[in-house]
Amino acid sequence: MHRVTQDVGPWFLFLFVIYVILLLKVITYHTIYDNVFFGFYSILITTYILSRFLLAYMHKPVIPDPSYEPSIAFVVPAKNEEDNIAETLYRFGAVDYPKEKIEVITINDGSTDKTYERMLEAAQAIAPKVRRVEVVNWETNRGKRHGMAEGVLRATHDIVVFIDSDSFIEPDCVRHLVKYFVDPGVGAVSGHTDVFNRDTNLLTQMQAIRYYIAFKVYKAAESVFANVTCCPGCCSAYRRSYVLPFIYEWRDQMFLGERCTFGDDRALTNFIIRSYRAVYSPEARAHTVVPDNFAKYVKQQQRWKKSWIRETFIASLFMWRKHPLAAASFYSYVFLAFASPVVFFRAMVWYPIMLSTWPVVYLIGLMLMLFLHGLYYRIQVGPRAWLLAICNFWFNTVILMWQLPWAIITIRDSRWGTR
Amino acid sequence: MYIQLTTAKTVALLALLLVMATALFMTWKLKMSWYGTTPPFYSLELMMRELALRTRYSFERTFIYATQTASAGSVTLADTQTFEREHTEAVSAYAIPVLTYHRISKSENDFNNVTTKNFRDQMYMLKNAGWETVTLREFEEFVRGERSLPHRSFLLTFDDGAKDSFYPVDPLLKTLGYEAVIYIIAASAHTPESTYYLSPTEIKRLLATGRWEIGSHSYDGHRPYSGDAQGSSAIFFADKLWVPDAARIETEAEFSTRVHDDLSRAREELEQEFNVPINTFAFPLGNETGIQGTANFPRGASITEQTARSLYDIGFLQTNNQDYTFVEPNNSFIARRIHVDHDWDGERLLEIMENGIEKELPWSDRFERNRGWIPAWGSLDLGRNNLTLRALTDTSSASTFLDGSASWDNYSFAASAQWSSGTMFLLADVRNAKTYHACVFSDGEVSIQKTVAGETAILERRAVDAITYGPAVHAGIRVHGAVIECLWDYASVLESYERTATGGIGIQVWNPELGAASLQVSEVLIRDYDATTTPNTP
Repeated sequence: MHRVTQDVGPWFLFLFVIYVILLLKVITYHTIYDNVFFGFYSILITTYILSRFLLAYMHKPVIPDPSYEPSIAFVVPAKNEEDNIAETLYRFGAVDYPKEKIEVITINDGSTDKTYERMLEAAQAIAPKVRRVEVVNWETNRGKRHGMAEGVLRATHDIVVFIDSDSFIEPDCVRHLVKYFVDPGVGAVSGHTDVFNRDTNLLTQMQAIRYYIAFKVYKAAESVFANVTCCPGCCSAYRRSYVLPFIYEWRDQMFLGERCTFGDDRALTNFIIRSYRAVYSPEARAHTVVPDNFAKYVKQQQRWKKSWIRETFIASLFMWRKHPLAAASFYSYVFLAFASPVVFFRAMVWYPIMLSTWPVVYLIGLMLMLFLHGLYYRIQVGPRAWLLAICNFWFNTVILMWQLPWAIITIRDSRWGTR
Repeated sequence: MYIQLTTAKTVALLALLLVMATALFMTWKLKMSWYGTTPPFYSLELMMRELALRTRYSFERTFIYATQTASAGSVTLADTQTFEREHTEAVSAYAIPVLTYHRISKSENDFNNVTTKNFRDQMYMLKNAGWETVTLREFEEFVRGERSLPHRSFLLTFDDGAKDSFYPVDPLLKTLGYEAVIYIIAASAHTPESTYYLSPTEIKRLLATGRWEIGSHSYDGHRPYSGDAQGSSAIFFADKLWVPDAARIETEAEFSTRVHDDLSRAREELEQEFNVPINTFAFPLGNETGIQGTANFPRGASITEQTARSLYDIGFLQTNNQDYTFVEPNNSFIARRIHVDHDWDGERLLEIMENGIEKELPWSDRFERNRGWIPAWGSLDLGRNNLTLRALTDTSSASTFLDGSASWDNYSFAASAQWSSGTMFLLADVRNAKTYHACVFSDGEVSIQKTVAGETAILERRAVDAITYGPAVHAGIRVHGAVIECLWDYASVLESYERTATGGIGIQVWNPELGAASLQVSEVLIRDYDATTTPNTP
């Protein structure tokens, strides 16, 4: 609440945008009768997005219990990451946690550059500050899941903390991750990851907003029901004893006759939330490097979309047993994701061609929603080219709307693509 | 559940919910009270346009007028106007014009409606020339002869009750201090969610500005109806309409009832709904029979006119080149309105309005431009220092009369012309194109005629050898008291003592050979009769 009093103007604008969105809905109420499908979509998407902000606002902060200090194991699989791996590992030596309760396991997964050398140097440097460092060197590449599984199997400590080889954690990150494990029902905790190379260009600026909103709003909303659907690989903690029973099943996961190579984190979370809780810790902060050109970005998004489709299908088989609101949120999101390209097509292609009407309301609505997200970012983070980034975000939404149908078509193509 | 709802958060959320709901409700209420049943997005568009125009016009008023007044030194434009107006205030206008517009259109290619640009140009031009609007009540009193109005007074009217007659206009009226009347089609105002017609809510708001009055434009007599089984277009107030159930057209009684019901219903409903007196009626489509004027029922138009006369004080028709453009205080039911054409700019309109003001004697014209000659029939060509009248192919005559001359009495009208064939008429005491006195000159003969509503009587006739064709003949007509005199070469050649009316001047030409009638006039001079009693040398 203290932030509200700090900067009233942007908050006022934020609420004004919500008012305009609601006004648009009131004005266009008749479209609901005109077409049940599109009317339902229109109401659902508004309710969904606004309810995310509402739930995020109600997300409960948890204060760390100083007496609760479980032992932790950092697991970092890496391939061709000579630029970032050392920094990733150095950060483990600086964490605010009892030295004898930390172990580090890093796996060189058949890198063709100097990743292994950098790993060894960094391992040596941090060795005095932790209980144990283990460097595993694989001559040939086996895949990220194998690396992660290897780490889990070799670890001896209770909580496994996965950190991507291009992510850097803050010293207090660990304490904020483990504090949730006091509750034995919790199986996984997602940290909060921001974009490290945010100021590189407009694309990374835009991703910074996406990351921030995805965590602070959408993951926080899921976390209210302890039902976070993805604890991402860049910075998340899992209870080792809960992971072990299905570690091989997860590592060797098959879908539609193909070995699943990406979506490791979402798949692992899926196994956990079947029986345990998964939450989000906004205070456990890390920073990750994101794609800084459009081609790389599109490929990464394509991988995410494919794994999203697969894991959403799997999750939809058990989500109905969860809290009614959590289940409703989940299935709503699935519906919206699949319906949005159809709505987009109708407004941007079908109507202009068949009825010569311009999709003014649709585009304004889309812009207002993104503006709302941008304002939230502006309020919480500060004035960092957010408006320009929002325009870029809008542009990307329009272009990337087609990724989901495309991902469905190419779902069995499991090549990673360049990173 | 990782949910935390402190009292503070709950209160904040509830307060937010309340504020949001109130804001939405208020917005809706506001929209309903300003724009009524107008669709919401269109209301928004109207609001934006209105705001833009209000900003623009108040800017123009503040800066352009302010600089005009400040920069002009001793005598400014505004000062001269005020002076002229005060100076002429004492003298009442003999007649005043009524302007008709429909919508003010954004499109350049709309041939029925004036563009925003031209409208602005016209209004600024009129204002700068000292023209001021009058209210409907002032106009009615003027027509009844109960009050006088200063020169350069006019009534501004808009037909149909369209949104585009109010939103683009009102900001300008406010800026210029003008008032206007809008003629509402009572049924159309209730068109649901209309983006075209003003809704009743908007009409109430318009009345509340104090700048607008309303009149009747029929209940539902403006749209096309069908006049036979094939559904060919028929005019509500002129044609007998098709009765599909009986498979026949209406009887005269049915026609009369229908017209009466429509006209009285329009008045009753408008008065009831808007709580203002509705005394005036604007005939839809310009006049009773519409512009084309082909009726399957010849008496229809006059029945409509009689019915309207019984229900309203004034009925507006469009000017038709048969009457003076301005409305005189003659207590008649019919009043003529000038329909402003889409391609008139401010100067054109101002010229027409200035030409209609009563001209002061002596008055002469060498035809450098049109100073108010109205072509009643035939073709009229003005300019290059000549007025040329020609009959159209297949007709035998052409006629013109001078706007702004209706108030004249006791005067001498002399014309110099190139007269080579046919008969030349000089008209005096012109009330309209078909009511006048005339001196008729033909080769070797002169006569005095009296024409009333097209019916002609010869009062005097005489053979005069001196009257003959020539490249520069001097003819004249002089009227005073009960006397009508014809002049040839400045000398009186014929007199009649049966003068019964007064009015302005006109010129006609006649030739029995079809399409041959032609006359070229190079100069006219009209002087007070008293001035011509002294020896006459123009």
